[in-house]
Amino acid sequence: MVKILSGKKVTNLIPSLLIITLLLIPSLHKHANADNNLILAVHPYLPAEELKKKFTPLANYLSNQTGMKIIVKIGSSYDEHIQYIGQDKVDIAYMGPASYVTMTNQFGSKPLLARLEINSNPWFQGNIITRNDSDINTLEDLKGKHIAFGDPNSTMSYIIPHYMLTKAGVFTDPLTKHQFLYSHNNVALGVLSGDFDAGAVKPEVFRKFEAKGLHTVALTPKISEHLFITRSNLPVKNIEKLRHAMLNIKYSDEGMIALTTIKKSITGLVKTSDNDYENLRKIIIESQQSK
Amino acid sequence: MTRKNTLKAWTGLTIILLTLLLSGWQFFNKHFQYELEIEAKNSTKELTFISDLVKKRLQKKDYQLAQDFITSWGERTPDIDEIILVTTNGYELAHYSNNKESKHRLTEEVDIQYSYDRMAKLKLRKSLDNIYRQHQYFLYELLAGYCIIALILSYMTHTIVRIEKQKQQIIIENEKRILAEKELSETNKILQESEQNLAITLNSIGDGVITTDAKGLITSMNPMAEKFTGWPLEDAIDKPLKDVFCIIEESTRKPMDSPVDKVLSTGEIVFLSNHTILLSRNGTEYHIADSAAPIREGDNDILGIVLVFNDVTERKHSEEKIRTLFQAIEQSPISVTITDPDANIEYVNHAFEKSTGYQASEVIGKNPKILKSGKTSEHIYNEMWQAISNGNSWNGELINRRKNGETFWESTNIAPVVDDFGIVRHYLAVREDISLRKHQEEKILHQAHFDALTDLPNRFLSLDRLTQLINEAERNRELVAVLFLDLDDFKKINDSLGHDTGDKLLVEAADRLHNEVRSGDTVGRLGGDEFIILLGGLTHATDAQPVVENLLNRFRDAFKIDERELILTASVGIAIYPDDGDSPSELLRNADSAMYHSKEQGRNTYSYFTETMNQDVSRRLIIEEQMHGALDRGEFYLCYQPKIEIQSRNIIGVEALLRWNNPVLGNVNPDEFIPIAEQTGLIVPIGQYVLNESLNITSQWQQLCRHKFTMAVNLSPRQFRDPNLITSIEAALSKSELSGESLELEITEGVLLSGHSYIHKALTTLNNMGIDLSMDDFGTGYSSLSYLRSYPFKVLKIDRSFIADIIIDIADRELVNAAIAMAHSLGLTVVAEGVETEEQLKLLASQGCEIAQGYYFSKPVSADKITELLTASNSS
Repeated sequence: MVKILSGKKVTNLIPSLLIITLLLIPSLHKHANADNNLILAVHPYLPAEELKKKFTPLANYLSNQTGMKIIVKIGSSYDEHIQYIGQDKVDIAYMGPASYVTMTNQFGSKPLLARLEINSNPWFQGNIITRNDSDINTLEDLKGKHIAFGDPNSTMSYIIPHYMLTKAGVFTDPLTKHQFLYSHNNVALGVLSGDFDAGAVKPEVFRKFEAKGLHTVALTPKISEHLFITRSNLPVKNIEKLRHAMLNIKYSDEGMIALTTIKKSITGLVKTSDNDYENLRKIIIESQQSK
Repeated sequence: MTRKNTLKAWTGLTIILLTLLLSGWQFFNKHFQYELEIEAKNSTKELTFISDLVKKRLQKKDYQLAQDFITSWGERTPDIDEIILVTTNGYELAHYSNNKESKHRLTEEVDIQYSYDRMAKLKLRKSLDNIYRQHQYFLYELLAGYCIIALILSYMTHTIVRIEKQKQQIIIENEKRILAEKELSETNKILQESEQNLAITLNSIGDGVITTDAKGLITSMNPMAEKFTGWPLEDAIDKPLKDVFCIIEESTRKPMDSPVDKVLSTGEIVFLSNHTILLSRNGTEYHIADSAAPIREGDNDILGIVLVFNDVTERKHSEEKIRTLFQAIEQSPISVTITDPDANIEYVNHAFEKSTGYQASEVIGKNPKILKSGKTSEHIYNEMWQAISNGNSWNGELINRRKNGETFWESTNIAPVVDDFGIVRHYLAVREDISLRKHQEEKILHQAHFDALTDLPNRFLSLDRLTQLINEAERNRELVAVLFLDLDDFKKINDSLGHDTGDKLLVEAADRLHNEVRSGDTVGRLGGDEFIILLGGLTHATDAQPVVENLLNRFRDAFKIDERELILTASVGIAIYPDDGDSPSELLRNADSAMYHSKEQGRNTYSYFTETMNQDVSRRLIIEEQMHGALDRGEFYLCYQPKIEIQSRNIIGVEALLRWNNPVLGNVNPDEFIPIAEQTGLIVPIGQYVLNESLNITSQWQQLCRHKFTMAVNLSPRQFRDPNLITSIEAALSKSELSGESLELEITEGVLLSGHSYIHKALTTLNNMGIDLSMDDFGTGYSSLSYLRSYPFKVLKIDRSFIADIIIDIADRELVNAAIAMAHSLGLTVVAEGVETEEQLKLLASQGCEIAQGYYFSKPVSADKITELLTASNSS
């Protein structure tokens, strides 16, 4: 006989094998807090392994400060990320401003922990740019022109600039055209190359290409930075512990190393309230209605 | 050589060298121009290639990717100094530079039109430094080559000038010598006269002598000359010599110049060539050797000539014959030795040297005993000496030894060589190397009796040994056991792991068998995976039992083949002489029947032959015979067993099951005929029939259902080896206008065992077609989780043998529970087979098992019955 295990004769062996296997299968579906670990969920803006490496130092720092074990998990999509924190399936979430607004619109408010401070500034503004040799001076001049945007989900390279251009009546002109180039760098390069008359980029990218012959036609409104929130049913004393640890992180060398691992330009975590995101919420809601 | 000629030679050399230098320079320049042109062409091609890719990226507005591509292209190509991409408005979109200052550069540019109104310019600057450097090296090589040629030619010219000078010297010396010789001949004049007189006396000698006057007219002939020419003296006298003395050249048969004219004109002695033939007056030809000499008076005047010749015909023929014989013997491929009467070697030919490795010089004078290897029996030598010393020839085969120590077979023929008086003067030995033939004979003999793969005795030798054992046993009133051993499921291994693995397994199995029996017992291979073991000298039939048990035990350890562990068992049938037959063929047949009985007993066991066994074997043969053509005769039909969704108790599909009704055998059990169909390969057309037939009716049933309804069909491992499997499933689906979702294919782990990539490919393709794959009979095989995880299964079917006892057997219940949980964790749907009671169903439902199949709901039924069941459930 070729079979190694033949028929029912070895039934004693199989159950134990199966049960061991069962224990080894990781389960994401169980309640987030089943084993007393807190889950810090991060949206997949980079490959999962890279994000784990970036956020684990922060999780470890917070674990040490609060005495609660915190582990990092990466969502499989932006949407899943929003759903999981919305439904309180993860304990702590790191969110971009637009995702945060979308989540609160759908699931209501959550306790806020802190927001990022980049180069000592918790706000950021995008740039609507054009070439130095162009005759565009105001947003209204963009009527009938060719405009480059980044990703349709991007706050700074689409949602807000598009809202501003709509307000300025640019899209009432049937000759106005726009195109998504899916990266901020491509937007700047597209404008420089003359393929586009204008485009919308985040400030780092504007600074990078400014000297090559770009200038700003208009700045976007100030938008509050990325933030950390918790699930709504996390015990208050735990929320307090986390918030305290985050707001004081800038006073610890170890904490700052953890933060700059996430992004070099982070200079600290600061207090925030839902009010800070109100202007973005207004824009998103108005944009959705106008569709 | 004169000074003038020397000057000429050196001038010539100088002209040649200058010409070479000029043409070399011209060649070098042309070659360089050509290289530059090629480089320019390549650069244009490269630029076109880059611009095509850049164009695509610009069309997609992926400027970053265009930049990255240009940079990475530049970095990967060492020759490129710069690549610049400029857009219509003059913006440098990309600029790669390696920051090197090349001395020689090639600049190419091309326009990229990436939309109706957008244009960019791509510039490529390439360094030519490398090419210039290479050409510099090439120039050095050419110059070095030129210098070498110049040196050689100078040396040659120098040597020629020197040799020419030496030649001149030799000519001068020769002239001096000839002058001296002339002086000598004059001083001998008186002596010559007396010699002429003496010649007349030659009348009495055996040479022909003719004299002529100064005009070449015959003046005298001696009797021998008359005989050879056929001219009597009186007829010949005063005739011109050439009329009487007609000579022709041997090979061309053209008349030769008369020596007379030559002697008269030169005044010297003329010798005729060795190949001269004298034509006698009556046509007889003589090979002659002759010479003609002038007869002089005083110092200079030639009075006539004397011609002396003799007949060398016979000598010439003998010489020819001896030369031919010698060449024949020397070049003969057969070794020849000639000894003196005391057996000392006098001659050996080339073939002897070649075959023995001894040079002739090493053996001449020695006794041929030096070739003795000591391996030829002494009485053969005695016989040989007896024969040849009696003056007879002898032939036989000897094992001799070469100079390098190697022994070889020689067919030898020795004969005495006697002289005219019958006295033995020599011995002649003629030998032929027959080692190759001997070796081939041995090999053929071995091949005829032993199996090439395992080196065990083959069927022929095994049966021959059995005959001997029977004869011995008859004399000694003993028993002989014939064991017929067949490896279980060996065919599956061949089918799934390939014949190479199968062969290795056979060799290993043969080894184990061979090591287990007594040294006198025979283990033979009958063919395929069948072995025979013969045990002689037994007293009781049960004496074979411990041996066969040991044999089966030897198969307990796994076989390690190609880093894979395989468990292989064997089934054995035993027939005993004289109880179960008294001829080898009868014993073998009965042992075979007993072996089949062991197979039916569940394999890995042995059985003694009994009379009833023959009947079982014949049933199998009848099944095989009847199965051929059964498909065409429409003897196969399908039954369907409903699958029930436990929650809703709805029929959500059926499993198609093959049945066979044969006019000779009646209804044949699938467990009995399906293995035979797999072995014979008939499962492929039968499987196709099952697919077509079952899918044909599926859409009709789907219309009767308000929910999803799938048809489950079993696929056997053998069908996966059919290269047309996928296309035939596609054809069956499209013929019945069904999508893949309507079909579920049930396969057992046996299919996956081989791990062949084509299995994985087939399963993935089937899954991509939307077909659900179901793991059948789970729990009876390896129950490997890795299979479930690495292949795209949707459904897991728990084998009926586990369901049967879940109520009473805790172990089975735990197993089923664990299997269900595991399947769910892997996202699989679970089907419980063989559900027969409500209790079983409840227990399965409590564990979340989704689907059940079994007699509790329905046994396998006809298509009409299924239609009825579906109609009924629809209306309820």
